[in-house]
Parts: sequence; structure tokens; C-alpha cells
Amino acid sequence: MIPVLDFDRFLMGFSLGVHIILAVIGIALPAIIVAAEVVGIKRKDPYYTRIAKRLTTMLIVFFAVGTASGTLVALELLFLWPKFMVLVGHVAILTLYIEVFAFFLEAIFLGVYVYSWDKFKNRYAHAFTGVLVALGAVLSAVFITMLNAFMNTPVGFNIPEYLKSGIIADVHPLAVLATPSTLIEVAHVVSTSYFAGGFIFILYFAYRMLKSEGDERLHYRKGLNIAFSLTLIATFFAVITGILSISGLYSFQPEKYAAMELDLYPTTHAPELLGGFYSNGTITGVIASVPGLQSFLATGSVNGSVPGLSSYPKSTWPPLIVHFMFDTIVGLGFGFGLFMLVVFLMLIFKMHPFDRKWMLMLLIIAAVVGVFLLELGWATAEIGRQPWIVYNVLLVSQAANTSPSIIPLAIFFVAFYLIVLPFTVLVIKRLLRDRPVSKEQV
Amino acid sequence: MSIMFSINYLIFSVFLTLFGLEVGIAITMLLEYDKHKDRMKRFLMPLWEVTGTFAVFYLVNLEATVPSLLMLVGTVFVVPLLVAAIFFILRNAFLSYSEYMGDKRSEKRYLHVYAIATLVVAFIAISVLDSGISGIGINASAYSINMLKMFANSFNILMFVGIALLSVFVAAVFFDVREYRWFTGLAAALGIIAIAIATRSATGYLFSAALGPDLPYLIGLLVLLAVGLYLYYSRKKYAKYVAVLWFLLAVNFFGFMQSPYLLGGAVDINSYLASGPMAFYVNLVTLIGGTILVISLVFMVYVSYIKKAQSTTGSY
Repeated sequence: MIPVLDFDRFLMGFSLGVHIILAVIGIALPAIIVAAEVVGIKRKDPYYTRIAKRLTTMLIVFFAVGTASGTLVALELLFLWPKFMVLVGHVAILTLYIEVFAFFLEAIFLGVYVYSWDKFKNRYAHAFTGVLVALGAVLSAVFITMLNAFMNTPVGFNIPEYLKSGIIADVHPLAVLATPSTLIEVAHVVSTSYFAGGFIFILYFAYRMLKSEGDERLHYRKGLNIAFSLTLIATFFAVITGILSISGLYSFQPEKYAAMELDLYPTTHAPELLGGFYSNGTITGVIASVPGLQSFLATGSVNGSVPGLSSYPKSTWPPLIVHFMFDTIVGLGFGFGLFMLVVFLMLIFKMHPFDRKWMLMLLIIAAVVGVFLLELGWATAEIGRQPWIVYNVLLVSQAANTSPSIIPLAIFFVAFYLIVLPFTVLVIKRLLRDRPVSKEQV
Repeated sequence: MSIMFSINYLIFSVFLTLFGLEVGIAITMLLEYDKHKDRMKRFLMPLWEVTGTFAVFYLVNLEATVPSLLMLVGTVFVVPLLVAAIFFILRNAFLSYSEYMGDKRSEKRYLHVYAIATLVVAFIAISVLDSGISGIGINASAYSINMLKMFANSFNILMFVGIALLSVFVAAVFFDVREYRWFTGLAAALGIIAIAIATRSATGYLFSAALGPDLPYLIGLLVLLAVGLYLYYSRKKYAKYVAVLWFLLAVNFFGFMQSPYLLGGAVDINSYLASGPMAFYVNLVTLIGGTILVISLVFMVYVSYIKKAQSTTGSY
């Protein structure tokens, strides 16, 4: 029999895994729409305006499902991890509370943006309401990430007292907005959200380009220009912030860092291991090892010292599969950086990459891998913090709701999502099919 | 009543007023779809997300207001509220699906699913509220719930019927629905009677303030209701504002009456309220965020419902 705790984990993981995709769409899409509208106004190009209008249809539907799924996640946090939420309520609630106002900004101005195309004399004024939608979306992500940063590097209350007696004392509510890991986590989440969200629309436009011709193909071609530009910038920042994140782990979550790098013992001149598994106290299956590289990346010196898992009780080690996951992320991340650079150079040298069928197919494959990378990155970060829900403060098992009523709910929720999401995509497909590009009002 | 709890209940009142209007819309759409669909949808489309956001606002504000109560709330209401959340997703999804649907039959079908989902969410949410107030079906010390008892008791059923009738009344006045107009006043009267019987029968002692110190407020509400109905029947355009204001005040009054107790008196909210620096910062954020929220909402209402279409500049 699977313990209820694992059902809690599964349900939360599944819901977040689904929500993350909807969330990155909700972050990237308003930015793409606004960019298309502004370019349309500036260049007096109806294609871009049409792109903005058609994507707005998608935004409404994705926003509807995305916000509802976000509400579900908020409820799940409360119901699945009540003790965690009690701690958050006392210490870190400002993150969620301010996030609600960002959410309001997004929801209110989405209503204004969608239903006021013809209500502003100056079209830039309309585009500005879209900027507020995009701002609300990204601020929501920022404040939610602040809560996650609190989970990784808790501050703002008397932790020794809490560990000793369970009493929450000496609360500093603003401290949670600037934990040691907040800045880098926020930067990485925002950039990877634009990266993955942008790639979802690269996929859409590239696919539609393959399926269309003439004027319609030109429409999608211009959409691809916008989506690619956004994603290119995001990729650059995602790679930089990804590297900085590892340094952050080294400083603030050494146990997680050691697990991800598969460092069994604290050492100097530490090698960077490619591959490798932990088995019976030793590491096997290493594909390659570069001496000193890990120390250099973490400390700036090839002889720098790095932490090891042996410094911590085995009961608090995260599952060491995170090393394999981490290797995959690093490999794919640099692969993406390289790929985007090549496409960018092709654009610079006027090699017209988007007019080549093989490149469109490559972009579609890259988009699927990009979304996988997003999910993998999130999963690695969360699994790497196990068994803690709040690092070194509260165990997942202590925070969980272990009522058996969770089990049928978990099964029902998964089935529900598996029906609603494909149905949503089908409806969007039908909505866009019923409004051909050529007949779109601009 | 403390400032924090007053704010919390005010947020809930705004949510319930907006959602109450939706319940009225849902019932009207199920009964008289063709006549009122366009008008109601025009009202609903820019606003429905804001209504949903108020639900989240309430939830997070509750977490900030009474963090120590979250263990109980989180454990006891897990099943009903997660099921409500599922129907909430359906509400959002089908309303948005219907928005750009060119095919009228599909649009009607989707809007009917939206209406039914809205009613289910309303029923579950009211049931949770009712058991939160009365404690019916809840064993606070054992952190357990008897859902059959929670849903199927006369207090809850009468409350739901009463609120649904009042929602129909408010929606009818707001959208100036003229069919069965005799029923609009009757719905308001029957709604109030149903709620009065519910509160007196099951948990009358919690609401004793309604006939004691809060009696002037109650009389004021009844007068406002009468004014709203008079304006409605005299076809005055201000009727809709009065009806919505009445609904908001009525919901808020309901909160005042039970304060500071929950679960049939088993829980005194005052002993769970956040205090110290956290309370200060939560109130500060509410003040700043609330001001921005009100300005944004006024702008939205102006652009969406009042501002006329313009010829544009900066166009191609």
C-alpha cells in the first residue's frame, strides 16, 4: 500500500507540473502579444496586429484554465501541507499576499485589453494596458518564487526556537522578500519562464508555417520572428542565471549542492563528474571527469573546497537521482544556448533559417525539449530539497496531511486534468480554425 | 470586531456579491437563455476573472489573518473545497470557450455547462461557509468532517435556497429582467424568509445580535431593499446600483452577526488572529494594494462599460 504522504507528494507534483506549463504560457504570451501589437503600430504592419488579436483569443482561454489551476494549487498547498501553511501564514505570507495584487493587475487589465481594442484614440494606450497584463503575470511569478526561496533558505523568524519548541517567534515579515537565494531564484525563474513559454509559441508558429502557404505563411512567419526574439533573449539570461544558481546552492544549500554534484566527501580540487551513480557507498558509471572544474565553477579557484554528503546524516540526503537530472539539465541548457546562437547567426548573415523546412522541424523538436527542460529543472530543484519542505526546518512528512481522503481525490484530479487540458487545446484549435487568418479583423 | 477580521469579511463580501450576481446570471441563463444571454455575457466577460481573483484574495487574506486556524481549515474542508475547485476550473474553462465560439449551439451548450458549474461551486462554497459558522458536520477536536451531515441539513439547504433566490433578485434588478417581474420582489422576500428561518432554527443563538444590538443595521438593510424594489418597479436606472449595494451590505451584516465565533461557537476568532509586525504589514499591504485595486477596477469599469468606441490614431 502506498503511504498517503506519497499521494500528497504525487498530487502536488502533478498539479504543479501541469500548472507550470500553463503559468509559463501566461507569462510569455502577453509579452509576445504586446510586442506584436507595438511592432504592428510602429511599422504600420497589419500582420503583426492580426497576430496580437489572434493570440489574445488563446490568452483568454489559457488564462482561464491557468488561473483556475493556480487556485487549485493554492488550495492544495493549504490542504496537503497544513503545517507548512501555518508556518507560511505566520512568517512568509506577505509573498502570497502581494502576489494576489499582481494577479489582480493581470486579471483586471486582461479584461480591459481584450475588450477595448476600439476604445482608445491612441493605439499605444491600448498596448500599454497589455504591458500591465504582462507586468502582472511576471510579478505573480516573482512573488511566488520568493516563497520558494523562503523554502530553500528560510529566514524571518527564530529558527532555533521553532526547532526546539515549535513556537514561531521573533517574526520579521519583510525578511522573506529578500532571503539569500531570492534574487538569483527569481532571475532564473523569470528567464526560464520566458524561455519555455517562448518556445511553446515557437512550436506553434513553426508548425503552422509548415502547414500553410502564401499570405497565411507570412502571418506565421512574422509571429515566429517575435517569439524567437523573446526566447533568444530569455535563453541568454536563463543560461547565465542557471550558472549563478549553482553558486547559490554551494553557498546556501550545501547538502543539495553535494547531491547534485554527487560529492560524497568534502574535498578540494573537486572534479566535475559527467554521469555516475551512487551505489553501496561508492560512485560508479562516471562517463567523464574534469579535475578541478567543479571547484573552479563553485569558488573561482581550481583548488577551492566543496562540501560533501558525508558531512550530513544519511536520513537527510536528497534522492541522488538529482545528479543525473542535473547533468541532463546542464547538457541540454548549453545545447540550447548553442542552438539559439547558431539560429541567431543565421539570421544575422541573412541565411533565412525560418524559410528552411528542416529548421522549422528542428525548432519544433527544440520546443518540446525546452518544455521538458523546464519541468526537469523544476523537478530537480524540488527533489533536491527533499526530505525538507522548508530547508533544515520542517520535513515534508511533518507538514503533510495524512488523511486517507486524499487518495481518491488525487486519482480524480489526475483524471480531470488529463481530460480538461487536451479539451482546452482542442477548443483553441477549433476557435482559431473557425476564424481564418485572412478573415481576421484588424 | 478586529480590523483584520473586518477586512477579511469585507473581501469575502465583495467576492460573494460578484459571485452572487453570477449565480443569478447562471439561473437566468438556464431558464431564459435566448432573451438575456447577450446582455449578461457583455457584463460578465471583462469581470469574471476579477471575481475569481477575489476568491483567491479571500483565501490568502484568510491565511494571513488567522494562520493558526489553517491546520483545522486545511484538514477539515479538504474534500469539499477541492471538489469546488474542480467545478471552478470548469466554470472558467467553459465561459472562456464560449467567448469566441461562432457556432451558436456550441456557445449555448458551453454557457449551460458554465451555469451548472457555477451553481455547484456556489452550493459547495455556501455549505462550507454554513458549516464553518454553525459547526454542523464538523468535529473540531478530532479534525474530522461528516459530509452527509454538512451538506444535507435544513440550515444549509435553506441558506442555499435563500441565497439563490436573493441572487436571482439582484440579477433581475441589475439586468432589468422584466419577464416574471412579480417574481423579482417575491424572490427577495422568500430569500430573506428562508435565511431567517435557517438562522433561527439551527443556530439562532449565533445570530441573536440581529435582533439585539445590530437591529438598526437590519432595519436599514430592509429599508434599502424596499428602496431597491421601488426603483426597480418604477423603472429607475439607479435600481441596479441599490440592489448590488444592498447585497454587499447584507453579506457583510451576516458576518457581523456571527463574529467573533465560528463552528457554532467552538472557535473564537480573536484568539487565532495574527498580531504583531505581521498584522501591521498585512494591513499596510491591504491599504496600498487595495488602493491600487480600487483605482484599477474603476478604470476597468469605465473602459469596459462606459467609454464609447473611438477612431484610432497611430494606426497603419
